[in-house]
Amino acid sequence: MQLHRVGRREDFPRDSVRIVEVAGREVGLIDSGGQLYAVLNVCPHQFGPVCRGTVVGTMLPSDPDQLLFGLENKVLRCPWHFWEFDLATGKALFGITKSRLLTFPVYIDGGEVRIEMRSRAQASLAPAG
Amino acid sequence: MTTELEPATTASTPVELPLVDCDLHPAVEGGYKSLLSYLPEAWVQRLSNRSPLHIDNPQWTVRYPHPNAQSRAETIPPSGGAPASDPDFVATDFLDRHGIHRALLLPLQAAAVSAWSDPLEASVLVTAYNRFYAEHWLARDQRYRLAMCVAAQDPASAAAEIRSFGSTPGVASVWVGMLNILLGDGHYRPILQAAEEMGLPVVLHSTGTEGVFQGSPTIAGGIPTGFNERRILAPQIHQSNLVSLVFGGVFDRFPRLKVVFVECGWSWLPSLLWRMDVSWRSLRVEVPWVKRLPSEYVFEHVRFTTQPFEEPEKPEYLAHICDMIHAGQTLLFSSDYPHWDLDSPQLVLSKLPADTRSRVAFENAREVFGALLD
Repeated sequence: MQLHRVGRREDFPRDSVRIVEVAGREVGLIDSGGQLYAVLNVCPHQFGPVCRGTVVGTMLPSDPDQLLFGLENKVLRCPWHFWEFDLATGKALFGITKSRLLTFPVYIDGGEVRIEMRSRAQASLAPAG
Repeated sequence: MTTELEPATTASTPVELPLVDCDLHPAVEGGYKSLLSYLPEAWVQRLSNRSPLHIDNPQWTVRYPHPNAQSRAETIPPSGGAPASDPDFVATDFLDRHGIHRALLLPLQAAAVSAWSDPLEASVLVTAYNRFYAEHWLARDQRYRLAMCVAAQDPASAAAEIRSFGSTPGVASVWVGMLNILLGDGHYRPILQAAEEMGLPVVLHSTGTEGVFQGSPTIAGGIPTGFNERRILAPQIHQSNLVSLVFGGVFDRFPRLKVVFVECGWSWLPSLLWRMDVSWRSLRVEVPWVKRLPSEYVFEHVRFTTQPFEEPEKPEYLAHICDMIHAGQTLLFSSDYPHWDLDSPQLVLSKLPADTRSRVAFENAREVFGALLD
């Protein structure tokens, strides 16, 4: 594991997405409601730039003909094919796939933002499916 | 017996299994006019005085005409009458000969009332057909089971008929004639609710009226020219209904409901399952009541019958298709007796992968129909 400095906290404004390069990989620093997340900018489906998608809420599983909106600003929706993932965990929502996003722990210390990444050799995407 | 299939095994290796035939078409000689005794006098007056040009004329004047003959000549009873109109002759000519233990009767004349313009007439006529088959077929031979018919144009009366007649011994399912409204639509909700409540699987089978009347289902893209085109393309209607059932949330609303798709092919199923799953993964938000992969709903709730048996370019493709559709769970044997394109039970079973034969022959049917086959 290795900590990588990606900027200062004020470089990542509230409710914004900024894509940075870390150790040769694109990582999205996503602020949602003041919480900062780090997500590899690769969707496990077709390797699309998932962090260029949208941070949204979604329709929760519901009874027939009923709509139930929730998880507002907790969902990352890939711009390619609209697969939806839990922003915090990287898991795909509601069983659409077993594959998931690669997320990284974010540490803020003295205003500096660092993310913890495994080496490239250790990091691997779960297979799409 | 005639067949277009080439046997995969020789006559020295026959496949002998308990057998359930999920598609046998009985007929009433003379059509509805033979059933007037089942109707109140006012209805007798109304129906007996009209012109003979009507839907259940045995010549099927309001469907695509078959270029040769819809039914096999040898299925005409020795005493005369319409093919498969004599329960005793069907029993000896077909059930005995092929070792069929249970045969699900799908009365085409009754189901074809789904094309009638008058829902009230259709509702009355199906009650006569249902009672006729209970009296003359179910009571005649314990191997027969009936897919009772309803007039889908009138969901309230259809539901009432299911509740009043559905517990008749020998009734094993409800044949819902498809309209130009898909099964996931709320129109059918009372019918599906009653079927689930009575523990009766729903069967879907074309009635021959597709693309003929404004209210009957349309085949996509335009009007087929003749019988060939109509026969090849009719499964489009089943495909649309399968998607509608899943995405309309029918199986979430009625979690015990089973639906049997009869005589509509099944080699198209892998593609449709994949397309449903792919679409749901991306666009689940539109139908959040679909809580699992659409294919999982199909495997749990929907079954498909074998006839007309698929004949791919290379016979070995069949095993792949069977694997893709979970045939050991989803496929039910059907013959389509007495029609021209019926399948031989022994031949069909011999062409299926060995590990699916007993499942297709009877175990899958047992799972769907349960005690209704006892």
